[in-house]
Amino acid sequence: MSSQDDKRVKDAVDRALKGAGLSRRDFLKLSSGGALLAGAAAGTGSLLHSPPARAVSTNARIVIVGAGAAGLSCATRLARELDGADVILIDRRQDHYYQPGLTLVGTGVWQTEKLLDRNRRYVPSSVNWVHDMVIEYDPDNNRVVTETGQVIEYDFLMVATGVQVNYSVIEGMSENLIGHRGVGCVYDRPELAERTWQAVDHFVNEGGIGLFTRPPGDMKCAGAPLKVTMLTESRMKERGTRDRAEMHYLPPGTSLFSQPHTEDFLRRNLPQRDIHIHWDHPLKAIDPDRKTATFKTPLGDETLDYDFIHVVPPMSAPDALRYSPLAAQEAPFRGWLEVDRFTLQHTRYPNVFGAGDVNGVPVGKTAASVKAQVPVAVENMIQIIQGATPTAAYDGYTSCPLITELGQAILVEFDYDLNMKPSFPFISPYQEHWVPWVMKDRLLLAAYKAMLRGRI
Amino acid sequence: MAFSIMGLLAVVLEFFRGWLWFIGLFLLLDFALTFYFLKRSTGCRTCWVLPAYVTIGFGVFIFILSMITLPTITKSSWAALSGIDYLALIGASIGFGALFAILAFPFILNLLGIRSRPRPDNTGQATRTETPTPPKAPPQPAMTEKVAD
Repeated sequence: MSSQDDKRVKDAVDRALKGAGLSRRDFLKLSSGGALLAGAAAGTGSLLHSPPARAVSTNARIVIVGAGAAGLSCATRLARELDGADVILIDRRQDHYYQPGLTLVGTGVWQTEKLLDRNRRYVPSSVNWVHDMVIEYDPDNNRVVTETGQVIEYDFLMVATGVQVNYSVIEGMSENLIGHRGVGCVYDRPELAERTWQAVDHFVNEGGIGLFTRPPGDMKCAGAPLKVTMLTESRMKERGTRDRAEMHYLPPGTSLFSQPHTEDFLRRNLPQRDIHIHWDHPLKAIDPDRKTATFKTPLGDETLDYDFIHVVPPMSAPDALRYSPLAAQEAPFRGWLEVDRFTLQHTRYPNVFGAGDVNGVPVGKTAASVKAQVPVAVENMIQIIQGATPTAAYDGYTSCPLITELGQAILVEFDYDLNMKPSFPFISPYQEHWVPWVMKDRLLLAAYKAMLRGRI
Repeated sequence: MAFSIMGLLAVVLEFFRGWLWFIGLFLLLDFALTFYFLKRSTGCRTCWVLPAYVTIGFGVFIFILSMITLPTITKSSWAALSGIDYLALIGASIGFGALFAILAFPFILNLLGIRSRPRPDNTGQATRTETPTPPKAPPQPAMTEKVAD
């Protein structure tokens, strides 16, 4: 291009800019602003719809059982990281709900709507979603059988069923009682948590005797019974009705929390708040008509009156898994998925992995554990698909934002060795703070959704 | 558990996901206003100092408002704060102040950023007839009060 052509082009540009009422400098300013905006939009877009981080080519058929937090996270990651795989997700449920928020609904901090979501929003388009439930595992023949009689074969299996809440283990208890006759339970579905809030609200206003129980054995979110107890007490102080109530916390053994520092805190904190601890009191039965609860203590059965009782039923792996060859046959994890605690690979069936609450591992049946387990289970499964040895390891990370008052919490994070593992070292895991409360109340739902989309 | 920068951004994005359309709309409006200001201000005397001061003042107002109200908005209270909470509150309030100031700047710039209208351009007005201006009268001597001798 000659210098005369250059000049003509420059003149034409100048004329066009002048026509738009802009100087060349203004134009440059706007261009750079536009470039920044475009860059920001592109960055946001890549976060909203992230491309495959790396694609491993395979024609393996992978079946994921369960579309809860762990199942959906696994589906998203496997769909993104495998190219050509046939990923099948089996779960009948269309609704998805944010289980870590159940305690907040049960104590009136959140509205139920905040928990509700749809699985459809998170299932990747390349995943084949079978709307059915697995009723039989046949790992010797690499297949599962569903409620409608479908036999689905697999090369690799990811078990992510979550837990089953066993109301019937407590004599006289059923989920229909929740919200009536002073019975509460935040451990199942959002509508039951909402009904629990009705019972809690009545107790907070009227007072009386409040019993707060905890079951023996493994359970999801072991901090939840404590949170319900402390939030109820905090509500009473807020409304000025604390002196109308007598509160009792009844653990099944002689500890309150597995992490020793948190245990020490709770042993001091609950009595200071006039919450009486009754050790070795697993709930055996309730009589809702007479409003009495019977506990199986080392000294024999003990029956206590109540005006409000928070029942936490014993939990287990779903029956289909619990009585399958995949379940551990020996204590301490009998009935749970038998996996290596580090690789999350099944100890007898190497093409089977587990993620989430169903795993028979020492600590952690929480959403935080799911966040830590899923990348490990998926990574190791992909390594097995590639014929390598699994190298990723889960260290037992779990977390509990232990709400102690309305507006305060302790962010407790620890591993298999029960050592504290704070994500944010500037937040003390030994003291109550406002920041962990804000995290629980405002930020963790967003983190949970990012996890479902496989981004964290 | 370590969070990567992209992980934190993903969480922030999920936090604002329901509001993204509104934020996008607001940013577009801001860009449109900036463009409009630049177009309008061509040939004018512009003033950036006053809008900048007003924007900073607005940001400081939001900062103070956030400091006072954030604990209550989060269903907590000032009594629940200790140690790191104060730093977090100050940090969050600074963030809100800065964010609102940045968002408000284009509006304020359009309101206060133009000092004078463009001067009429005499070139290309050959047909305009100039009216002769009358000669200026010589300056009058200042009136002095007569003082009686």
